[in-house]
Amino acid sequence: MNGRKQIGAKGEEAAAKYLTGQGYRIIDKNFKCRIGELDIIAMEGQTLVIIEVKTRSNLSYGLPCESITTEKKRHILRTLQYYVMVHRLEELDLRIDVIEILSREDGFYVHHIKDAI
Amino acid sequence: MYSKITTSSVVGVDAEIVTVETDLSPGLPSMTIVGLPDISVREARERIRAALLNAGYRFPSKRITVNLSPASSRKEGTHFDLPIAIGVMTASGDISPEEAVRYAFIGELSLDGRVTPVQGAIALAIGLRNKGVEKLFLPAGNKLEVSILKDIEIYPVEHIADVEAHLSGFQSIMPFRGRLRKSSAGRISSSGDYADVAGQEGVKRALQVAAAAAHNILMVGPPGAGKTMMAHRLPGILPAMTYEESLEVTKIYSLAGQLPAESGLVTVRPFRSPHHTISATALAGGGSKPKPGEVSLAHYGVLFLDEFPEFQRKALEVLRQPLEDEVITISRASATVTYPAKFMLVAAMNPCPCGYYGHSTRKCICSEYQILQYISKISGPLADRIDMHVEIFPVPCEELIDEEKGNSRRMDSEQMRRAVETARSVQIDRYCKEKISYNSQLTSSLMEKYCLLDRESKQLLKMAFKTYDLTARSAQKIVKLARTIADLEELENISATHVAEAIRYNRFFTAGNKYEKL
Repeated sequence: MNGRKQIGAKGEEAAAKYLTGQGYRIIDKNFKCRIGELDIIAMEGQTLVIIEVKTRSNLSYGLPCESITTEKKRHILRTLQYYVMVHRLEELDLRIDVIEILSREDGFYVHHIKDAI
Repeated sequence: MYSKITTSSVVGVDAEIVTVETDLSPGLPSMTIVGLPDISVREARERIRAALLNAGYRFPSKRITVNLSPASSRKEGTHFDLPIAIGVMTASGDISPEEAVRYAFIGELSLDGRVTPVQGAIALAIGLRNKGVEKLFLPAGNKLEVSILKDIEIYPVEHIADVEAHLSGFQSIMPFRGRLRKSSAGRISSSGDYADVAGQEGVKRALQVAAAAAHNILMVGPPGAGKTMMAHRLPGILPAMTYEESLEVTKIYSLAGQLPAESGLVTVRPFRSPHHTISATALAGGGSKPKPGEVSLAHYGVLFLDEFPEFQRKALEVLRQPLEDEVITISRASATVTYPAKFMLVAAMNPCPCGYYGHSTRKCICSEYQILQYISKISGPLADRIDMHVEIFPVPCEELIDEEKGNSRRMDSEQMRRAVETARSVQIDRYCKEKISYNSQLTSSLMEKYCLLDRESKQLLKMAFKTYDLTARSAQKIVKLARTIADLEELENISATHVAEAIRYNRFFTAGNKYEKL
């Protein structure tokens, strides 16, 4: 695993920990299909929440959430539609969140943006 | 998860009821508005979302579908913001549907949740009232305008929270009752009194005759003779508008977005004097989404066109339909609308480009050809629709400077208006069984019934016919004018003196027979 992927994986781990602490029930991680990938899939009450995690170790390239482009949003949306279809989840409310994580030596800084896309 | 809210939408000058249906269903959060919304309605989405969140309410993260029914007619305007927002709140359970269904809603939302005034509020409210709606929520900024309506309760609101508080019974809003301001207060316009006009008693008399039956009038004279000055004083001698007339004028101004924010009913007769560079579209009304033009803004009032031949030919020809039918029909790809345009046309012009043709002391420097060109701008059909053609001469200096001589027999506006009011009521009484109200609207069949001439007047008319080479139409105009002049004197029968005066106002003025015939 190279350095960039490692940072990403650690960030996702931190995000999952944060979400569990917030009362979310994590039901899937790193769901992959031909269309794209979903980082974290969780339930908050009766709402299915898809979380895109963006991790950065410094801010010299801007905020993490700024790197989510329209293209990326479309990928997430289409993957979500596929996920909902495969798992027959049409009756659930859906939401897409973004979690920004800034990884520093003294730990992770988490910023949760609800209903981001 | 479903709600129904009442609002309305403007079609031409009228409004039809629109039902806002909102449905919330599970799925990715989104909001779709269907039912042929135009961009201003579709943008409501962003405003509603921000307004609800900033006002402290929740914006449901559901699939929201809004349908504006009937879905087949086009909807435009920002007044859909409030009804859609209330629809969303009702569907998500923040407002009880039993309460919301008893009211209609109009209003635009700002991003912080305030409800801001909309254009055409009075037209929307009239449409709702005609369909039996009894309670209406509207922006506080529109309350004065709409309070003139008698049989609808209005609930003015500043903020969307006010609506929610009222509907949940938390804090009720009292229905607003405006007091109808007496119209006479604003009637004498600031434009001045006819008593300020020195001399020109003959022209003042002509304007009085014109005002008495809303005859169209053309004034021809050199610069500085007082054409503009006298035209501006015309609204001061017109009778006050009735409640229905005021309502109609207010509706047009509201639709055009020209109603000042803090005013209610338009009670003063409109006086519109567009500049001669005006385009045909601005005069007639139009645009990709039709809006009333100057002819409609002058409804029940005066349309004053100074420097008449300087207007674009196209703009002038636009006047033909409203002069004939008292309405104007505008057809665009998006819609065809008919706006009322019942105005009194007052036109002023110089006799030639330099202005001094036929002047007693100054010499005209225009060539024959130039003059012909100038006059031919006013086409025969247009000149034909103007009942009165009056020449104005400059006031001699003795009358201007020698106050005593001038003052002794000056008519003032008050005096003139009383005569006009009497003449108009005589006409309304006489035509109560017909479809018209004034002499200027007489058709030839009605003229046979109401404008009987005695032997002497017939002879006079015959003589004028020969001497001035009149057409059948101008003979008719003379009879109509004679009728009005008789009405000003409250006389039942038209006599030779009335016909003689009418002939004076009808010297011909078209390109075909130029000044020699004047």
